[in-house]
Amino acid sequence: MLMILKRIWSMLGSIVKWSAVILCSIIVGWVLCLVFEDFAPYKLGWEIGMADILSIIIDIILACVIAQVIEKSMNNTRVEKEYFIKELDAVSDIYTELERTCTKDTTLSLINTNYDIGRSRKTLHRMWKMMREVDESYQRLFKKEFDSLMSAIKVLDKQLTDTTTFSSVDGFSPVKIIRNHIYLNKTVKPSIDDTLTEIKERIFRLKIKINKK
Amino acid sequence: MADLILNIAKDFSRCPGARFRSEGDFSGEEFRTDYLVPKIKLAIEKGVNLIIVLDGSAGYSTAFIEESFGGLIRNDKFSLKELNDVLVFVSDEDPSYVDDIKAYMEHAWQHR
Repeated sequence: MLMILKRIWSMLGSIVKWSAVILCSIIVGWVLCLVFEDFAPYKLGWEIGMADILSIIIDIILACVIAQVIEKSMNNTRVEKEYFIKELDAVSDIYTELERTCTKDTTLSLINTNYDIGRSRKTLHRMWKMMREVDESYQRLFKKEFDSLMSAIKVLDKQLTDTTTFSSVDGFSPVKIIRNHIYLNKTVKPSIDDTLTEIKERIFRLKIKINKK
Repeated sequence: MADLILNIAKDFSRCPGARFRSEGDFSGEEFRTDYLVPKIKLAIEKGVNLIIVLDGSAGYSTAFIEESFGGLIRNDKFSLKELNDVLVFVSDEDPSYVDDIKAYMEHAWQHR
């Protein structure tokens, strides 16, 4: 039932849109052919020549072509946005799962963690490359959000996989790694949780900004 | 003379591990001492570049990357110029790894 209503609604929208396009094109075409062909707009009246009718027909065809192009480009933008948001959702899912594991367990597999973080980085870079290919303005608009998301991911990577002072938090080594298993230190678990929350928040901000474009 | 190639995923491991050998298999320390340093020495000797291919692995931890490349300056006493002259990086899947590596080498050089 909902599908039928949606289809009717979309058909109605289409009819209204095309009627508006045709009506506007008739009016604009009518005025233009009076101005440019006769060069005498004051002659506007009921005497219509063959040239006027032909002009209007050509005008309608042109208007249809333009409307088609605009509609196509709007559709493309929608598809692009959907793709980017889907990619960001996939990245967000990775961190939701990691967050769940960190809450539940004190041990993580280093290889799986590397894989998850690496996968999210590759996905984000693929998306970033795609943004440049479809429209360079995307990169300009979202650079700040993208960079801050990448830097938060790198912070988490350090907190989870680096046992040296390079990543120490308040003087404590965040994790211990034995045989490629990460043992989470309880004292720094909250800071890992904070970073995970920050990553998800930055993904959310980027999604909002993409949606607004 | 052709450049030398070191493909981490093919020649070392598709799943690189942690920083030190003591932390598990396929560590950055293992990669640096057993694979990277001999290849760099050979490349310098032959006067060619060493192309490091980073693509194809499951992902690198920052600890692995820092130990592998920062360690070249800290432990193996290469100079930053020597490394910049000989190393060429390929990372199409995640180009930011190259920036990370360069930043770690720079950091190690400044804190040597």
